[in-house]
Amino acid sequence: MSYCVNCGVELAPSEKNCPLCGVEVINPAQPAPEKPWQPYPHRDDPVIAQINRRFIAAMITIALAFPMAICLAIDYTYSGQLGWSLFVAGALSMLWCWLAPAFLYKKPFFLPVMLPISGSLLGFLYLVEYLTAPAVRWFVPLAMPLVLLLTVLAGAVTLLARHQVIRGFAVPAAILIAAGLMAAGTDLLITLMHEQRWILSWSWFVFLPSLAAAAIFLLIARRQKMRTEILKRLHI
Amino acid sequence: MRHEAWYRLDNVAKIYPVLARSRHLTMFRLSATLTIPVDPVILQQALDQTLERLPFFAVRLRRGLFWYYFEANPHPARIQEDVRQPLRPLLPGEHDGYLLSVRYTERRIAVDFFHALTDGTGGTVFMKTLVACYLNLAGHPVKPDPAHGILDCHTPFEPAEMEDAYKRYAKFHKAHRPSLSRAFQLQGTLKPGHHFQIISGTMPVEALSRAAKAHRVSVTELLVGVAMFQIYRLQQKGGFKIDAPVRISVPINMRRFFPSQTLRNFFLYALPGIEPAYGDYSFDEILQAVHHFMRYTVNEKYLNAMMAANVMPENNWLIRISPLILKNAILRLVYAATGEASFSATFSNLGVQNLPPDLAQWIDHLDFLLGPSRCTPVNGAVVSSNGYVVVNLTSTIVETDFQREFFRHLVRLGVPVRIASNLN
Repeated sequence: MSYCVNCGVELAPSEKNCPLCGVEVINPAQPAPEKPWQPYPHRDDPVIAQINRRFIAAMITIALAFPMAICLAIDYTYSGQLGWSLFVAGALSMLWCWLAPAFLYKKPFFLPVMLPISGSLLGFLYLVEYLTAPAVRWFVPLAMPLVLLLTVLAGAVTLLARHQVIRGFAVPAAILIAAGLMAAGTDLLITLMHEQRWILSWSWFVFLPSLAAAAIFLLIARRQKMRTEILKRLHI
Repeated sequence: MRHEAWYRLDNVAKIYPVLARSRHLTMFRLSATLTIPVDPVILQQALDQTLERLPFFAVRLRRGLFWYYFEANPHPARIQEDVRQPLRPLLPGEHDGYLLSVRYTERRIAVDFFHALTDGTGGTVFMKTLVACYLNLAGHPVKPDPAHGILDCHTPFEPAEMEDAYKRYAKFHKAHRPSLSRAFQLQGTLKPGHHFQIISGTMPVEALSRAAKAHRVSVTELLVGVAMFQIYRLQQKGGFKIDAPVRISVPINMRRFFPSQTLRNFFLYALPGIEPAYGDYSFDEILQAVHHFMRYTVNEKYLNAMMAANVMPENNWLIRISPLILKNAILRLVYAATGEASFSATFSNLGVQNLPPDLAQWIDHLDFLLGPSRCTPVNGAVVSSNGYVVVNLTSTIVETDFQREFFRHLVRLGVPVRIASNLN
């Protein structure tokens, strides 16, 4: 039976220090028992990290809506109509579509995240064209097909990789092929718009090397030994 | 049949789902430390039997369009090993949605309750029934004794055990809603996460009663008085707002005044306090203030008026038809302004638990703990059994100034105190 010299309270055998004042318990007549009965175990509940994704989405919404409202209000107050502030509003709306959907879903997957991104990009580009009203219309012949091509290629690679149709070294190969196709598509659309001809020019210099690099990756993917060696030396 | 059952929340319970996962006090624990080791396999069987007898404890919380409700939980309840930091606020889906968790250590059976489910008295009945059931299964027969809160696990449940007693007794002659200013609250270094420290002081009942008698107050009043005096002293010493009132919330078991068998919530608070702005208080003055306040407010008439004030809004049709999400937002605001803001700490005394001899021989002592709360960092819970009073002070802050002064004061009053904690 030990007492705290400071507080005058008796201390349970499990206490090495007085819980009230922190003074160490030293009782020469009665050394502390080896394994005293512990009123509470040393085990702790695992802490479950709870990230409130919707809260983050709400914060993003507020952070973007606030400057948008201010810009619209200032523009309208000073010029009596909405001009430059529509660019800001469009850009911020697009940014919201890029950032928020990923936090609105518990497990963000392809369609709900990817489609708003490309949809909002299309919307913003159309808004720019509409507001600037250029002599040569570029949205329908160039911007829209480019965005759609990018969506389809990125979507295809992501879906194939997610569903494990391609894996390991085949994934970088697929990315390289998609990049090559994107370059070719870009080239094709630009020449089509300017010269009204279906012809590839500079993109050969991107497409062929990317195909070659992809082929190397695919070869490596087929050779177990080489794959192991590379992983052994280059693993991070 | 059991799985189709659903229950409305009682009047007081309605606030707790709104506060769950927040910084307010929503959990409490009742535990029995046995003289024999606990066998988890038998404890699991005992829990299953107890939940069969008391099916309204085997529920999960669901959201309706207008109110929360309890629904029979289809999952089996599982016992768990105890931890150093119990009473963490509930997370959705934790424990398969159960609003209580039964935990065990080497010699202790503990039940952590979500306050929406029941109050201290209802919890005691559940805990005693569980322990008696466990001892029966372990080969130590304990006779059921409903007068002492030990129910027979083999009888069907009685609807009276789950009535909403507030509704039955609240007579709407006049509502009493005291308007209280913001009270002084202790501050300190918050412990990280949901960690909190438990310091329990065990003292003989006679010594404490003697000290209380010497001051001509009851044991609860003495403990509340000591706590209030020490909070007041810390307030005056520590560079805090020295004029804010010091109030302590003392839960009152309403079954004392309004006979009811209910095992759901049926309690209200008394809020004795002092106004340091009026001048310096001595310990005796504080004791007298607490004593007379309790005598003045804790009676059938006064409590009924307070109860009416709580039940009235619930019967207002405008509130009833507003969607739950709106109710929650309003309740949060109202509680932030008038709830825990109006008192400095909670001191809950479950009183003497008379255990029949065949149960008492296997029980070393009972414990009662209040869960962590950020607004009122230090709370006290008191229960006495087998001739000893156990005062558990739970705190969410690192500093132990209040706990130290509280127990030292009791020692100065001639009460021998034995201290244990979860700090080692």
